[in-house]
Amino acid sequence: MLDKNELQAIKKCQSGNTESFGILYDKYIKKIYDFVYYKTMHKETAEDLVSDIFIKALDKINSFDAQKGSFNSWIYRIARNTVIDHYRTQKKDKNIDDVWDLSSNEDIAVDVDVRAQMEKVQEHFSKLKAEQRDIVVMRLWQGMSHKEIADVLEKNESAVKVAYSRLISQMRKEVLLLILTWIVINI
Amino acid sequence: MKADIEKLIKTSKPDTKIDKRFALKLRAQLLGNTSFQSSELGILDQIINSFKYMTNMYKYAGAVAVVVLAVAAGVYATQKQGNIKLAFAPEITGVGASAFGSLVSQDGKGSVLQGAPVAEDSSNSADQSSAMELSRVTSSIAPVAGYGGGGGVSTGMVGEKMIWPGPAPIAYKYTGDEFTLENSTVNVMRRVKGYQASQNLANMIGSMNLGIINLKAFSQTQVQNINLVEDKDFGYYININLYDGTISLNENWERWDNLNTKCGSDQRCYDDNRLKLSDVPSDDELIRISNDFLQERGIGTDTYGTAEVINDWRMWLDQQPAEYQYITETITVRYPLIINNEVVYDQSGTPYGLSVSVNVRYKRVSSIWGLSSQQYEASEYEAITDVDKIIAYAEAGGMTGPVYYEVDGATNAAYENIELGTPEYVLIQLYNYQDNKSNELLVPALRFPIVNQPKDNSYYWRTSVVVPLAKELMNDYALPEPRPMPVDDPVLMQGAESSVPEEVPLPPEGADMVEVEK
Repeated sequence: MLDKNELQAIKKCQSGNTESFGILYDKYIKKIYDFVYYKTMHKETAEDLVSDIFIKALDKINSFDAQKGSFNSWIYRIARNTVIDHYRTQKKDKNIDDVWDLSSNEDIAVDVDVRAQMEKVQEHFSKLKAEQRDIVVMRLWQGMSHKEIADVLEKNESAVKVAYSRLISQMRKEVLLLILTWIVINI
Repeated sequence: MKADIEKLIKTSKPDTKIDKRFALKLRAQLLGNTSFQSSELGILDQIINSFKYMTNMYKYAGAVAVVVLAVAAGVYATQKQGNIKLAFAPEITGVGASAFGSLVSQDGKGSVLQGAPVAEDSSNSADQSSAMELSRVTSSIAPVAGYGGGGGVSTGMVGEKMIWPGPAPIAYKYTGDEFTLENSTVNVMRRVKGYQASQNLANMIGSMNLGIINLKAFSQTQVQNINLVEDKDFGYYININLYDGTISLNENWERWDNLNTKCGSDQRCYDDNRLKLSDVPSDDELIRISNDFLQERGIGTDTYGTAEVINDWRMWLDQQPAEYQYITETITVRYPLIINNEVVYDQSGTPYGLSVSVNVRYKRVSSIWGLSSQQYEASEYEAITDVDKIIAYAEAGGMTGPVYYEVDGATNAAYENIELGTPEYVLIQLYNYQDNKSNELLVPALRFPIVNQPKDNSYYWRTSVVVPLAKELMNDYALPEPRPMPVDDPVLMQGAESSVPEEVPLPPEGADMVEVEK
């Protein structure tokens, strides 16, 4: 569901008034930057990619069809694909979708001040597929609803709900296993 | 448990702060607002930004080249003034462990310290100590007009010997609280430098035939420096080093009044124009002059801490008889650099950062240095965790302070007992010479404050002792061996032309000196 202002801005953009893109930019810049940052953990890389994403969005605004989905899901898809393209260009020999797919000794820039944060969830995140990570990130770090996530991933809402629930259960089991292992070793 | 997992992930959410300038700039670019760059950023700001984005510079090089050429063409003068900011937030990029190789300079033990370029800050107390070459002089000091920044003691008006009382042994003793060190690694940072920022500019200039010389005939040319001069009274000479990512300002000497021009060889003229203590502005006024200048010139201080006035010159002043007292022409206001919420110090424990010299005579800023790009690479290195060793090292004077022992008959000087308090975590700036390049490193360190500053020994200038936490540095420097007291007779300060007899050892550079009653 598009709000009125957003829809008007899109229509104006599509009719050549690109100044209206400012309304869309102001609404989405922080969300998209955050999303990209969570997938790169590097400020400069995130800035470069966000620039590319919004340039692409403006360039392709005429291809956006409000009947097919929200602008939110449309620009998120551009963001996901841009990040994937970035890492696959950098590491052509590996199947990498974002920074979490990289082992810690890879020569990829990461902001020092988020390393500690990364370490806390690295073990869980690195075992997930990129799409699964996106579900967790969009749900827990970006506070998106299952419906919004479903739109971005082009899935139905209940499938995302189930997927999210399974992911959390899976991670919970891993933690339990770790605790049990620790107990066995230390007894 | 499910809730715990969700909580763990939620609390691990990285703190994202979008750079407002980036967001504004991108918005302007998307909406075709081409005026944004010139009105909001300004030429100097764009150059600074070019330093910031050095690693991505192939992408930005075209823009930088245009900017820099615009400067060269004189467009600078037409730039809109006002909201220009030179501040650029530190950016730290993580790289692999031990990525900088050895932290110890290639030129051998101790050269991390010696690799540092000569400090420009002549009023810096730390520099005064090392710059004050002691010499055993048998002739009188030749009068030289004492003019220019820094220093507190003029040899220019002295017609007879001035006595340097000589060093005394110092005994540091740790009296602070117990502490532990748990981290097995430390993040060492290296400031990013390089020619990438100026590559396109070099290509363009390098392809010119200037008539008198054909620059095309040279290869692999790079642009290292751009110099601008304000051709007006009290104008400035602006040096932009594209390789180092530094900017400095100095007086345009041709357009500043100075006593040398006014007085020539007329000593009476110098005497009549000597500054008086009452001419020196208060610290608050000095900081106001400095702050106003920085604000007017769009030089941001966001990455620096609270300004402080460097008043070490006063201790030198107090040591001299009234007739020899010379009031310094410039006084430095320093803004300590802060990276990752930690203050950066130099090896002697003096805050390191942006320095602004205020000319006392004209109540104007005369120079600025220490303004540099703050883009770093960070790499993990093994840390030292042996507290006893660290304390022993601190009690030996840290990175710069060897301890003298008394040679029989050489001196009757008593040990100066100095207490070291509980340390704090800081960063220290070191120069690391590798492969013919001088790298600037920021190394985590402990700073031990000196809690009982000697009251009677005004030549003792240190306020703290620093000990680096990178194990390799500690191993390299080991515990300094006590050295013999180097002085047994009064000595004279630099300014004399006499040579130093070879058989008499000089004190080591950076040694602590305290006044001793003979």
